[in-house]
Amino acid sequence: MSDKKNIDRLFQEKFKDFEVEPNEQIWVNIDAVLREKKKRRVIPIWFKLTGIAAGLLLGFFAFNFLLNDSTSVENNQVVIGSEKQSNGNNNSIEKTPEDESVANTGNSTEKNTIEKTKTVKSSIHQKTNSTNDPETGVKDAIVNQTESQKTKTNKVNSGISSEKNNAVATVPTKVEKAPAKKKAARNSIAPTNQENAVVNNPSKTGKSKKGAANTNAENTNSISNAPQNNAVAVADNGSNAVKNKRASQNSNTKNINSVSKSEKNNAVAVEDRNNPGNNIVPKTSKDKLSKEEKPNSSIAVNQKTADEQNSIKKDNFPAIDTAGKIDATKKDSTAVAVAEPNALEELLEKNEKEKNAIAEAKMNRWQITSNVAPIYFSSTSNGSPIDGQFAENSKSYENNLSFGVGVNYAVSKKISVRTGVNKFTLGYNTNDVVFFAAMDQVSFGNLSSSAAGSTIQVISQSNSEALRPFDNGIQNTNEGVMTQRMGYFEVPVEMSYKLIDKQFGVNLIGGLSTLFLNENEVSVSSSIMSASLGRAKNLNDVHFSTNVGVGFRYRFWKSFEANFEPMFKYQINTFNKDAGNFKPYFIGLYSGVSFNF
Amino acid sequence: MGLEQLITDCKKNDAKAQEQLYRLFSAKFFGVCLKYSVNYAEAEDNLQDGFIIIFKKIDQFNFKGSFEGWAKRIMVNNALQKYRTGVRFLEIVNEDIPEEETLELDDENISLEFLMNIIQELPDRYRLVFNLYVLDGYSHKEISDMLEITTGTTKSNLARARAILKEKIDLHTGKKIVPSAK
Repeated sequence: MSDKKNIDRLFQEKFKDFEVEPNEQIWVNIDAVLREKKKRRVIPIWFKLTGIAAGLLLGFFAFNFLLNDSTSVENNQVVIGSEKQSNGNNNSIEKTPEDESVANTGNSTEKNTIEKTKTVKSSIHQKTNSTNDPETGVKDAIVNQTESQKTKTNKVNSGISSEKNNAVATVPTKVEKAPAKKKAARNSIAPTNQENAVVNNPSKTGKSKKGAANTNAENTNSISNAPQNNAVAVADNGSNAVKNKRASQNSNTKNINSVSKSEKNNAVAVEDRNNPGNNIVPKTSKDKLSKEEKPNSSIAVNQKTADEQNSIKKDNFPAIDTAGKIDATKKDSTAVAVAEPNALEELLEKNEKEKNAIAEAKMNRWQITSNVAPIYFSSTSNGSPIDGQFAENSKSYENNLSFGVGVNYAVSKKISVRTGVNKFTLGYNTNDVVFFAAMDQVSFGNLSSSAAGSTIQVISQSNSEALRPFDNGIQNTNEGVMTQRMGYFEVPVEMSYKLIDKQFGVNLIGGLSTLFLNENEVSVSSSIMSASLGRAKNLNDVHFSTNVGVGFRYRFWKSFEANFEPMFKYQINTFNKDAGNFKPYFIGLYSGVSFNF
Repeated sequence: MGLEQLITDCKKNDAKAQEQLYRLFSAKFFGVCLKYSVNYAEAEDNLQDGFIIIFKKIDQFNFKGSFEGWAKRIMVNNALQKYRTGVRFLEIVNEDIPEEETLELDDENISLEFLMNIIQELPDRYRLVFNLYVLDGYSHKEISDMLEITTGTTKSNLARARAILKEKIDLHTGKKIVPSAK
């Protein structure tokens, strides 16, 4: 076997201070991941600051409803789950009197895998070990663990049953908050986490503890799971325990005392832990049962193990008895201890999440898009913002073109926010007007006439009928249309929610646009001439529109998409006065290509 | 700045402190990752992920025990993680433990790099078991728990790992195998 040592020693010596300087890029990556979290948190705040929540809500009522529904469903499930859990407990309570069902109780109450119990046990054993021989120095480590657990994870502080309760308890908070889903997810992850814990916990616990802890752990393990194995398993346990005890046989009584003390402590702890759980879930009304159930099962197990052990090794009675008690305490504190091993394992599980997060981070969050859209302008009512006399005139609305660029940021897989700049012009004609050269300067209420325009009189044709006999003879009148044109720069802030996200995708879009006036003209034209009248006085320099629409997109390549987005934009506050019951809106059929990066 | 202060700052998510802490341990932990990974790239991934976990979880380090030990456990666990799932099903219980052959090693001629390479070339589980047992001092029991395999398997894996490594060293050094005298 000397070669073994040789080869081992060779490697050990060579790798003793093995250090390799990693690539600088790694830190850059780590830093990016660590910083990114912060950045992401900023977004919602920024959202609030924009003060467009109201506009967004409009577009996302439907979406919010969906979200609420789904969360509440989830919550319900959680609750139901826990109820089932406690049902399971109840059932097992009924069975408890029978020996074998004790094992079942263990199983059903915990609903944990064997491994879980294993770890649990081993960790408990550390505790008991520490109570038995304080000199081992193990204590410190354990105290470490437990303390760190306590501080780390409040949610963990109760056992399996109360953990379930916790799940319930967190529900209310969840309902209130939108990110509830995450919490729920975390809760549901918890069990798997614990399974993982099995693997590592041992590594965490000091090596010296291992020996004793493991044997016992296996032991109880089998007790809780396969009743038939009990005899053997317990025998093992017995012998192990006995060995331990024998080593210090004289001090057995002391040991027993200390053990039972610790048992009591544990029992108290368990009760304590049950209580908060119950307080949190008073509605279930099963809490009392579950409260009773814990001690019962543990006692039953206690008795069982004790009995069996007694029958196997009577001469070691006291020692075994304590062993049994230890087991019982273990049982009790399984609840407590399950949480413990998670310390490290949570890290691993977090790591998974991290990986996911990284993967998420790698998704192309940014998208720039260009768009062109025919704009169909219209009004929901037939008023005229220029002058009341044209209110009854028919209007014909121009179709214009909007073009612009936008940028899209994916907040999550489903939701993205976007903004951009579009330029477009809106225009409409007031039909059936008559215009002619005026005798002196004229102006409409809402028109600030240009020099040339000030001498043009425009009246509605219906009015002109009355004038005609008088005027007709004196001057030429032109029948034509009066055109009002408004050009805008539009800065939309919109949110889009992906309904379908495949190669072909469908989004719901809602938001708000800020429109900056940059073109403002009123003119008249007839078949033979046209002339500018001036500017409308009542147009706001800045106004808003609420936008809703549906987006369709088709992904050509990974980062190139074609979009088609019919949007309805209802304008608010376009006119600062005398809107003349004119309520403009426009529909844009935005199409374009976008590039993800 | 003491390590303790550095950790405290890291808990506040202080970027500078995080970088310093990283600089302090990156080389050492990259060594760990290299041992447990198949290649350089995987080791880099593991190092990155491991550090991210460490920084995210540094809140939970409560200054009891060595920080390096705590962090290294995270590193090792992280490196092991991908090998854990499903291993159980592939496992062949109670593999025969091959007979050992004695080998005189002249370690003067063996470079660290070569040893690193042959470790990385080992089949996954052999590599992990060898690392855990020989280089990081875990017991068979612990390893069997960490990797979710039986101690019989870890022992057999270890023996096979040794055998493979030895063979490669033999080839490398050109030394002949001295048959076991015992």
